[in-house]
Amino acid sequence: MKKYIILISAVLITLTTFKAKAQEKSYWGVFGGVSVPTGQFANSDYGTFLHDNNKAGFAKTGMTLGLDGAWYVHKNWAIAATVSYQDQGQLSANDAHTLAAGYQDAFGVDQGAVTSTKRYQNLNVLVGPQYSFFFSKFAVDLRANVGLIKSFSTPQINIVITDAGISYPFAQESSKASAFAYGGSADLRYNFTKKLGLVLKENYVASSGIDITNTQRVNNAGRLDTKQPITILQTTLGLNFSF
Amino acid sequence: MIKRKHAVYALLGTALFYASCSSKSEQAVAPNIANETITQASLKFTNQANVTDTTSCTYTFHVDNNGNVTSVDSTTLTLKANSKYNAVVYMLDQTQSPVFVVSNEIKDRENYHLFFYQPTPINAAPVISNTSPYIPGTPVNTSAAPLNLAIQRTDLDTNNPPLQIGLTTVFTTGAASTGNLRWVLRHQPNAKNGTYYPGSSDLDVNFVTVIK
Repeated sequence: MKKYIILISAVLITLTTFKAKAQEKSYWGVFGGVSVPTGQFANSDYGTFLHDNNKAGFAKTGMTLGLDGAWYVHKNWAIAATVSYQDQGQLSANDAHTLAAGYQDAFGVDQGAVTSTKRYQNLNVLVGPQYSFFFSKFAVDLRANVGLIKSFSTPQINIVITDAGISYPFAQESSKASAFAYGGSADLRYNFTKKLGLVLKENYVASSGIDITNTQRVNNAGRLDTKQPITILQTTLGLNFSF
Repeated sequence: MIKRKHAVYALLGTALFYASCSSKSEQAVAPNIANETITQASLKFTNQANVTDTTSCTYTFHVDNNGNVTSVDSTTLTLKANSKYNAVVYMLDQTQSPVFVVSNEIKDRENYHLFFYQPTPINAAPVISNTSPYIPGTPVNTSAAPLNLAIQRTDLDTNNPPLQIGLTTVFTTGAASTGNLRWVLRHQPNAKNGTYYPGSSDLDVNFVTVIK
């Protein structure tokens, strides 16, 4: 429900600002910073027998880089857009151990083994209305965003359970799916000159999830992640250039 | 303008560097653990025509302090001719304190366990399908009088589509006869498809069976 309210608000506010005349200097910029997974995306818990955690993402704190811009269309109102790349890491040896033990228990087998490759890497494309407060050389920007998360890869998880000397392999495949995303940001800008500024931003992005494909799953048992929710909180520092 | 370009190039270069980083592989193997121990396996029967008419058969594994089986014994299964019995599985691990009810654990792990029931002797090979409780490859003996017993599983697991389990069954007897009932529990982790062959056997026992 929350995402629909944000989506509708973003669209309405954006539409109402289209007719207006620009009042403030628009800008574009580049930024980089830290991207911290939160909620189930950061969770590294397998769950318990019959209560598997199918949404735990095992994502790690990583980095983000991107381009950002805001085009003022009416006084303090702007239409803003962000394109960013994120890397949220890969499964650790401990994560692989957690999964191996979890699958071993879930299937009641002699041994569980997990091999994981590939990382969480994705591109976010977000747009939305921005309202700015100006204080001399400072500006504070508040923004609501909607858009898309495009995954380049998610961890590839290969599982082999072995019982009585017989191996049963299956896998959670790396995903390149896309999904709807929403969020919001707040930033503090400082203008060194009329053209150049520095911006410190807190950005929140959430998505109900990208589709995950599982292969060679025969029976309904053990952890089965079919949709990976993504929530990230990013702290970035960037340069912005007015035009 | 040149400074601006340099800043952009530096950031894009850094992004490309991170994007091109190959991810390493992480591998882990969970420690080997023993499967559950079954020290007593029983079938409990209730005559559909008379609920006070009950019987059972039990197979017992005697184990030493290290869990090694030192001896086994079993009771004879005796059923009335031309009758229908509801049967339920009851399994225990008496090495644990309190005694662990293994059949409850099998129910929890129903999506990769499957029971098979094979009367012998048989005069013709049974029909084998993913709903058949009979064991493929059972030798046909046309010279011996068959054990007149048919079995149907009556429970389903939560696989999609659901598959039978065999914790509950209906035993249908025919004319008086004697033979054996082979009872097998197959453990088929991520391989259960209703047939006998995937997996391994957690239990494989025989009961002398008398229908009279």
